[in-house]
Amino acid sequence: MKAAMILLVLAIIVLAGCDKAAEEQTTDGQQAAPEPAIKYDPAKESDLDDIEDVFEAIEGNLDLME
Amino acid sequence: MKSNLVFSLMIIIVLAMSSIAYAAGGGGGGGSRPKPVTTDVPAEEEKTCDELTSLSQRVKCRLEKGGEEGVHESCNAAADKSACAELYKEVYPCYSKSGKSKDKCFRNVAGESKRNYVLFLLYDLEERAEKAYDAGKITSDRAAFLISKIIDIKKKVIGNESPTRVRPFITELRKMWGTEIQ
Repeated sequence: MKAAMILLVLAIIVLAGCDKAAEEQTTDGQQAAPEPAIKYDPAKESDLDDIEDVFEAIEGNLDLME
Repeated sequence: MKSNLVFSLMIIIVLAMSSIAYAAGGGGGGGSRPKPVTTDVPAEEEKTCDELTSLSQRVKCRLEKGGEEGVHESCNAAADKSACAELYKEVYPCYSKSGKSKDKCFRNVAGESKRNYVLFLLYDLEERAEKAYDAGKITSDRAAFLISKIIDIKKKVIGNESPTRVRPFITELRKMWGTEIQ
């Protein structure tokens, strides 16, 4: 009876540990998810009066730099 | 005898007091008046903006004094500084344009070089920060801070750094821009 109780307690501890590890893995997985790619068309003329267009043109052309 | 002693003492006191008064009078009369202290310390030489040590100090100085810089700061990172200066000269008329025509102008000057195009766009941001300061929307400290960041990025672009090394600085600048200039 005593041995069964000890086994039960151990089982609860192990299960709790596994649950926590799984939770951490999910969080890590979410952080590692790739950011959405910037949809930039280099052929499209940018309206440089719009600051968002300026930054998009800068970021979009970074990868195209020789 | 006693009265003689008192009389002598009184004479001594009177003589002593008169000599003190004479000495005091002589001091204030002018003959021995101390000369005014002349401070021959030379006025602190005012440094030109180019002589200041840090980039943000130089940028702030130029913003406040309104002077033009001799050589573009970012050209210091270029292998050919005069070619870099020429490039800026060539693109300069584009900055009087706006919207899509400004973009077209940048593309024409940059030609096939995306690196130069990025450089022109970064310089456009610099101009915006300057205009924001001129319009009183931002302090000279904050404008100098932003412009210094842009110049640092331009140096990386001119210095042929890889896009992956430049990108985090652009992302940081974009975030800062949103909070600094509304």
